Amino acid sequence: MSPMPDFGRCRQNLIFMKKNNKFNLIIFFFIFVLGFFLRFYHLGSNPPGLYVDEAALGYNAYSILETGRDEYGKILPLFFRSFADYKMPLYIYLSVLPIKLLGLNTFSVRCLSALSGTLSIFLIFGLVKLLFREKNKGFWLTAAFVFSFLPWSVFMSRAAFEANLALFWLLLGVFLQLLSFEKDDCRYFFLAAFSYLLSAYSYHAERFLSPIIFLSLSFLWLRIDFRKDRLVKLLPGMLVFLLLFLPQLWLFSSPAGQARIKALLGSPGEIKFLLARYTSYFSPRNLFFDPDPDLQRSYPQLSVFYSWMVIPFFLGLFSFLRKPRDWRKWVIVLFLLFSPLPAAFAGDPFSALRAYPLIFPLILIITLGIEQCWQKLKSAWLKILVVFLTIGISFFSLYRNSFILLPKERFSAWSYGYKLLADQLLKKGEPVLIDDPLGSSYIELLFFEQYPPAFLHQERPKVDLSRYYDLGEWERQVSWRNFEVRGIFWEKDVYENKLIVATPLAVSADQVKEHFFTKAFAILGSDGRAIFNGYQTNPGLKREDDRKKLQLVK
Amino acid sequence: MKVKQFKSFGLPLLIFIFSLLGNYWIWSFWSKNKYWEFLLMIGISCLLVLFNARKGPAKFLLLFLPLLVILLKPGSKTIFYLNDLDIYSVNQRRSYYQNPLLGRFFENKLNRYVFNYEKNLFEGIDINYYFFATHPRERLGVDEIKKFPELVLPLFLIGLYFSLKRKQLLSIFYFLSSLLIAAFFSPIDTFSFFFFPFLVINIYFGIKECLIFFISTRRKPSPLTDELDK
Repeated sequence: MSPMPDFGRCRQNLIFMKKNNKFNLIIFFFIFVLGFFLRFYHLGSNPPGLYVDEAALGYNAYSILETGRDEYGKILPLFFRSFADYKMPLYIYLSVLPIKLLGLNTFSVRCLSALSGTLSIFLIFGLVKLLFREKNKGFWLTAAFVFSFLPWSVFMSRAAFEANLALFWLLLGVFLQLLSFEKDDCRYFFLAAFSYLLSAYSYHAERFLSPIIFLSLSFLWLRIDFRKDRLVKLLPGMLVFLLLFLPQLWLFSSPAGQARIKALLGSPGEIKFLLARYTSYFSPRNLFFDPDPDLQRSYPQLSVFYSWMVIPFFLGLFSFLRKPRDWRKWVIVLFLLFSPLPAAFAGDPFSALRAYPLIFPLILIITLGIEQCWQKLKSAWLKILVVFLTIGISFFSLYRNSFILLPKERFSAWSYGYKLLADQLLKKGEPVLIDDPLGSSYIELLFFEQYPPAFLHQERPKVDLSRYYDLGEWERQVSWRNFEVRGIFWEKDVYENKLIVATPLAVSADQVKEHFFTKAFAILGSDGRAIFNGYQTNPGLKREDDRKKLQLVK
Repeated sequence: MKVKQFKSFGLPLLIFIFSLLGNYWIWSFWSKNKYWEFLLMIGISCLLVLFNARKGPAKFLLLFLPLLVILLKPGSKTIFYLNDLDIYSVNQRRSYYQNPLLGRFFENKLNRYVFNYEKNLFEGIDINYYFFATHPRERLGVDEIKKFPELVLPLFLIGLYFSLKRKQLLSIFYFLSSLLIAAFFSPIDTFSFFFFPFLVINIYFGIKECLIFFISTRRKPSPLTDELDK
């Protein structure tokens, strides 16, 4: 049950709010502008390049815009097959508008994520206000401020991560659900159900998390004071949610869904390893010091939170544990316990992407800790010094990691160079082979070439669209117009007149000499080294050399 | 009379001995012939338990024990030691900046020392370091050893919570002081044995709390729960 509110304090807060309303509004405006700036500044060029998943989201949205079909030719699919990972559809469908307005480019693909991250600042403020009514506006603003410049949220907002959009809908769902409980209004509950659904259709991890949070909170609300009319009010929203969630269950049980689960889980190992992965999401080492080991999902030398935040984290955790038990506390506990579960099952050591919803409860805990620190510091000068020092260190390390180290050290992880490659290849008329045994880089070229999807549907090898959702395996070979993306067949390709594009590791200097390749061009990375080399084959010379060798053997 | 003595003294002693010896870490000292570390850790753990509930500032002298021991054992590698790769990395990163002054400001040796110190500090407070042999983020070139069974992790957390709640902060201050000192030495494993008493004490408190909870929910208050509660 909710504890009785402290009316004396509430009135004090109310007076404080009225007096300082304008001032607080200005502060909130600055926080919002800061959040907007950190997310949108140089969005199209930083992170450098465009990762294959981002390119896939963008090109599929472009294909929907142009033809109403995805890259395979499926009309308005419920899940996008892409690299047989069956992407959730919402990011792609919502990206149609920015692509229509701004054209197909890196900025237009990323701007939906950046916008979700910016709007989430509002939601964090609103949620903290609902969950910590007893605190003053300074506390709510602090939480919004922490979220606005946190490395985790800034990083996730600066790339086309579906997880960022999913978090926005999830937070909106929780906000509306709590509002419906506060106001005892089932309309908000109905909207909350839709918001949770949109979250589940935005990213894989939220497919598990959204129903858990939605149903647990509803159950919690009913359990506090069970009344029949309450149940009747919640029932329509819950039924709609369950009904519209059914396709997810169907995908889950389909061969494609099973293949995806197998690919993600790998060999989960013993239960103790699962437990170790789960606890690693609460380890200060992973939260405050070590970045995500996946180079594409982290800054070079900055973890998901700033390292100084470890102090408010511990103070806040203790303060949170001492808080009286009420249903609001359970909202945070539910988030804390369930958010890392999908990531822990996926087998990554620490995935900032899959465990992204964990940011919400951790921000609340850190804000509680900051409040504790603020109360403990008695001298005003000391407070000013601490604030300047922590904010200064945070912005310096964010600038250093985001604008200096990331472009120089992580460009290859972000598939940098495909735009330059596409520009280079557009001039060529002869057959081009792009060496990529994984076969995913085709989407980068299609994206930067802005290749008309209608042509692609006719030219690329056909897939059986009647079994679209059952095709668990991916072809790994794509061809269109004069382009082919696959691994090099050395016995065949060197005897055909074509341009071969490969990384320096894939084709050695000895191989260039042996097969009489002529270097046509090189695409350089930001460190000045070649990322891709273009080689012209020389079938005449190669055949002649073979003949000579054969004669020598005879 | 004997039953009462057992409840007030024998049972807590048994729990303490179980916490002290029922882990892999203490026996790894023994098996690696680190006898003085073995004895020191048992000694400090006993002192922490004895002084934990006592009032007065004298008990805080314990906090200086790690410093004393570390000073007596010189020659370990500190955070101020930078190898060729570290220096290369600093110089390489400096070249990323268009303004050399900015490069010097962001990329320098001091920055590297702070990085090394933070690295040790966060490895020292990593739950997985103690309970899962640092899995899933094992460190390169370090022989990770399992220190405590995974099953005692909840007991440790319960113990820690009650230590904080009852403001019995000696073990926490001891951990913090030894961590802040030991983090000057790389890798953290060089002096991480100082953290052993902190874990043992909190596991001991955790078992005690669970036992009290278990008994009090099943039966009415008894002398056993009263004694344990003390």
